[in-house]
Amino acid sequence: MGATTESGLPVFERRSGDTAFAAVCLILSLFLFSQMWSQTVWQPGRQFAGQPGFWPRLAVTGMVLCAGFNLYQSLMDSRKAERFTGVGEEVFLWARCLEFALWFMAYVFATPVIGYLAASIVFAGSLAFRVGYRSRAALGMALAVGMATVILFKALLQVKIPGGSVYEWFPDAMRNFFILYL
Amino acid sequence: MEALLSGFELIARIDVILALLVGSIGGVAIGAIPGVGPAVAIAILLPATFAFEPIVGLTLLLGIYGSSMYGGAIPAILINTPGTAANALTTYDGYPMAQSGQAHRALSLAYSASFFGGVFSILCLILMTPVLAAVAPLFGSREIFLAAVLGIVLVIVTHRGQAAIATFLICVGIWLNTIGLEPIQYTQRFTFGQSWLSSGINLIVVVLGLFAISQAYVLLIDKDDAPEPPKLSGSMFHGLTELFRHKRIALFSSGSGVIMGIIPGVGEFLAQFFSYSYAASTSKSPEKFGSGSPEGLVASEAANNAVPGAAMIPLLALGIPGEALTAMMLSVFYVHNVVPGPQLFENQPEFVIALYLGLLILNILVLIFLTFATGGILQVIRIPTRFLGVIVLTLSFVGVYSLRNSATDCALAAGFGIFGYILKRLNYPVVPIILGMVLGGIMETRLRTSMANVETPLDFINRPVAAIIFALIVFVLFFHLRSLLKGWRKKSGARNA
Repeated sequence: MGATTESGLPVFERRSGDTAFAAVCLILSLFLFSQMWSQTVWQPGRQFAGQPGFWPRLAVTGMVLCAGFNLYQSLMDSRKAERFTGVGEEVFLWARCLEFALWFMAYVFATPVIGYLAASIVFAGSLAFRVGYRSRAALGMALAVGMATVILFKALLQVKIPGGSVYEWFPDAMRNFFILYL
Repeated sequence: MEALLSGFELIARIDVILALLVGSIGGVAIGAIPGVGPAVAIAILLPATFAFEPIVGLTLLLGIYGSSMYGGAIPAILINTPGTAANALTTYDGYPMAQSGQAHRALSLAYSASFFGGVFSILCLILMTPVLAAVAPLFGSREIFLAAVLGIVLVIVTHRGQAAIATFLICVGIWLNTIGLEPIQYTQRFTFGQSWLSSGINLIVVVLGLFAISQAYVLLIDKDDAPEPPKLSGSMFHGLTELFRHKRIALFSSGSGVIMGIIPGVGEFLAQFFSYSYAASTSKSPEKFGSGSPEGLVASEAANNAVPGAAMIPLLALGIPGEALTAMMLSVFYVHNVVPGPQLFENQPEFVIALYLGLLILNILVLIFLTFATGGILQVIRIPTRFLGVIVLTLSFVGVYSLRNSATDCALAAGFGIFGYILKRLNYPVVPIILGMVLGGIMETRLRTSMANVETPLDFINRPVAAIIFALIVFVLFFHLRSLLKGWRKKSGARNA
């Protein structure tokens, strides 16, 4: 168990990268604040609750104030020296997500082209290979995961995922089956 | 009585029973996998349930919600890793019990405590239904607006030490909800001239990004780990009867779970914390807490399992979700044009009763399943971390893409996944964003409609329920500020000394 309060509740501890994140939040909030007047409408003569711009302006103002206060708290934290170590490594770790986000988007763009079944099998297999599963058994399991997902969601639960454009080249009976179930 | 029979009729259907079976067994399995949890599963399954009737979709999601904490106790006890965040305190006493060769006793005690907590909260719900049905119509627009404000205030004050970032994230949620074409005056809000932003940002895209995709990133980037749980042998029945020796703890913990579940923004963790503290402070052998106390185990499990049933109260009675999972369930109601809130109790009491019965059956099913099949469930704990990441990312695609077949939605979800990953790395809460989006929408519409009948600010609280909720908001804020001031004085006193 980490540090706790006198009553035993866990205490929130700021981590490396906290100040960098707090600064980015404040910058983005200030940007939105600067755009507030051009991106929302305030109609003269209307009650504030009926104003289209009331809630977005309230939210953005709240964001600016809280992001500012959070940054101040982060800078004033007594353990700041400890937290400034390893910021680079932490930010690098955040950036590593981008790789998997790109994998995800490749899956998204491949599906309408090669079809849901093929895209899922290729995605699950190649991502498993990428993250270190190189044995036949592990890769076989990954392919099975891809296939099972398609059978469960598209064939059985009939979720709306369009057929791949390659299905157009299939013979009629096969094409209908693939479009409906795979 | 008539509503009870109609409720029975509503769930006595093969599709509802199947949903209950799949939800309860699936929920146990999902809960048993450390790092997945019910929020990820519900987020992924949410769009698929839109095709079902509301009662089928909701029993499936409720099944996962209600049974995941049973499953979460298994890795907490056997490998010292809670399956869900709500099982964190179970590790304190469950794991030492397993280490001393009492894994069976610990597991069966956890199951029976969870069952007790679950059934207790459903009984409370059933007993409170006439009260809720009588009170709910007293809630008009201004009362619901004030209840949503109270929910937001409670979310902020329960994030002790993180109030600034929790408020920031709530504001982000409210802002996200306002993006797009506003429905009354048809003006654009924060669309920056982009047509794809005109239809707004879908709540489910944000939910999937923040819960499922971010968790996939966590699993894919973390060190690969495949835990090896110990082998189990013997009967589960022995520990089931042991609960009667700890009925005082079980009753208090379930009661605290119900109260904490009803209060928006509080949830399982505080419920089990208060129950655990109570059990430790009133025990004849407090020295055993943290090193294998059955009372500690009962307190933690009874409390966390009493929350799901109770969390349905604000959702069903007022249409106000208290935490992320009920916020996700709210979208199932909306998709089917079933509006939770005062009218639901008046117009469709059989629907409410059917949900309660579903929860009750779910607890019985899970207890029977776990009594005989815990050994089989242990297999899912062995799935390596990164492989789980591959599975979660593959499943997340179905969730997002099946909504509108939109690559933009997928890109947004992947982006929210990165945001969620950073929040998780920094130990920041994710839930306030979702609650901000849901409660922000409720506040906007309810304030607009209630202001039509209000001339002076005092008119806003001239009805008894509105005045009570307003007093509660002031009371919560007063005590929170007072405790902050006390803490600050103590700190500065220590610094001066």
